[in-house]
Amino acid sequence: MPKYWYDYFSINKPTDDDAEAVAHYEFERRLVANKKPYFMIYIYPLVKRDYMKFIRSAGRKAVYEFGKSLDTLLASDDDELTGREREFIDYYNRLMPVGTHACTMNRICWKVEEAFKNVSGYLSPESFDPSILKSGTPYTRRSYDAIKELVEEHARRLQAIGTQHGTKSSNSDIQADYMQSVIQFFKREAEGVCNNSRALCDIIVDVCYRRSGTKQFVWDIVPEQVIENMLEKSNHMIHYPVLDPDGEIEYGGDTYSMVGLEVDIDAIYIE
Amino acid sequence: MQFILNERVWIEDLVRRLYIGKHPAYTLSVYAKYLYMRGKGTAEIRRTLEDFVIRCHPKAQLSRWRDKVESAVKSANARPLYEVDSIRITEAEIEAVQKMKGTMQQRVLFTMIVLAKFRNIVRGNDSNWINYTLNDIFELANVHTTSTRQAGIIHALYKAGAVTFNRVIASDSIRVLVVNDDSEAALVITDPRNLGNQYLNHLRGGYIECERCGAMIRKKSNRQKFCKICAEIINREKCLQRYYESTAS
Repeated sequence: MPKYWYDYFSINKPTDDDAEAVAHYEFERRLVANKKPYFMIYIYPLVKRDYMKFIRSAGRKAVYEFGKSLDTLLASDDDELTGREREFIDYYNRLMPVGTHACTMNRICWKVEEAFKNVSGYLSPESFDPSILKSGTPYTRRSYDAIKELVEEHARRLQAIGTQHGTKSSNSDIQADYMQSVIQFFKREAEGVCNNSRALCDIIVDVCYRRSGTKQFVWDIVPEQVIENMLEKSNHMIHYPVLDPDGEIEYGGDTYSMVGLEVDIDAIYIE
Repeated sequence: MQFILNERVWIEDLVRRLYIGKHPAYTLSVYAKYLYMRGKGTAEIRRTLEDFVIRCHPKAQLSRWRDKVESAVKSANARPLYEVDSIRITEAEIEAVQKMKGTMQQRVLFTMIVLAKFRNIVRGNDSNWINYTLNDIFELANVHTTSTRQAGIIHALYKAGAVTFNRVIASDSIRVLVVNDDSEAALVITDPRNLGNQYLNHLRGGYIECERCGAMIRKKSNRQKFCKICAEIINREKCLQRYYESTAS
């Protein structure tokens, strides 16, 4: 892509006052696309990072200098603003790292943001009852404390792996093999603490679901037992949606209906 | 950002104690500059830094330190070490600080004055600009409060004409307007830690220096000798000593 398409300073400035050259120069400057449009913050994480950093800095500056939040400043009428505030808003708009013009995609993006403004993707821990994953087998306090230490060590190990391997896709096979060996290690350690799989499952669910943070340990160590417990509680019946033109559940433009299936626990193979 | 007055003395102390500090990247970068000032070449600086890392953390994996070491080696000749022995705070500056409402604002402004004078010395000019994060400034000022109140304090200092800001929106630089060297010295800062406590001690007393690390702390009881961190370390050492003595007998 030619640099003068996205960089103002790469456009050749006319050296004389030739009207045609000046007109061409002004035309090229009007076409420069030096910023990505706003909706691309949801496509490129780096663009979102720069945008959020700019918004935070501008918000802080607005409070330091004017004692008002950025939103209050931007919502004020022009005649309510001082000269310095107008200058601040002008610089804010010019230095914004993304384009906020009302193009079609930006307007769609803003409409979607408005619709989802009050929707939180976060479910509070209290809204999920972890007892559906348990069998109700009693266990000792000593086993609970030992498993709790293992869970914390597991979380530390996962964090270290994430830091060490980063997000390079070329390391994904190595990372997968290493993760498997880590999971096998923790499985052996957990079975060494409690060799009753039902009690072990209950301990691990209690440890993981009583704290905030990742529950990955449950699904790394006792996934089969969790499924078995859930099937026992639902009389070995599972329900799942299937596409049905006459279905009562609507999702993604299609309709579905729920179908029940009796599952033979011995026939399940968990990978 | 770390605030060290005399980097040469600081790094010599860390190397002697084999302690890499709370900010290893900064420690390595200062050590690299120190070695460069002593005439060491790039390869020797790299070897010495790696050796230092291993001696501080014998179980360290050097592959995970490579980026930090290389960055330190690369920046070895970027600037000389800071060697500032003391910072003089004048009567006029103390008066300007005392005009602020409340000790929080006063401590923050005092800290900003110290930082501005330090930057003036190392840059060799009188621009009075500082570029530390608010968290660092408030930490040095011993003011622990919410980010909303921090912003409020900065706004109050701006309205009082004590500070001003860069016109660039995304810049957090602050210019301290009350720096005034044309006055008698009221206070000399030789310790870059707990500047807020040093100011309050100058103002009304009631602070002591920790006997182990020398940091200025508020005296909460007659018997107090150490800061909280040193007290924990000494307590732990005494517990271990009692344990070894009891098991030996």
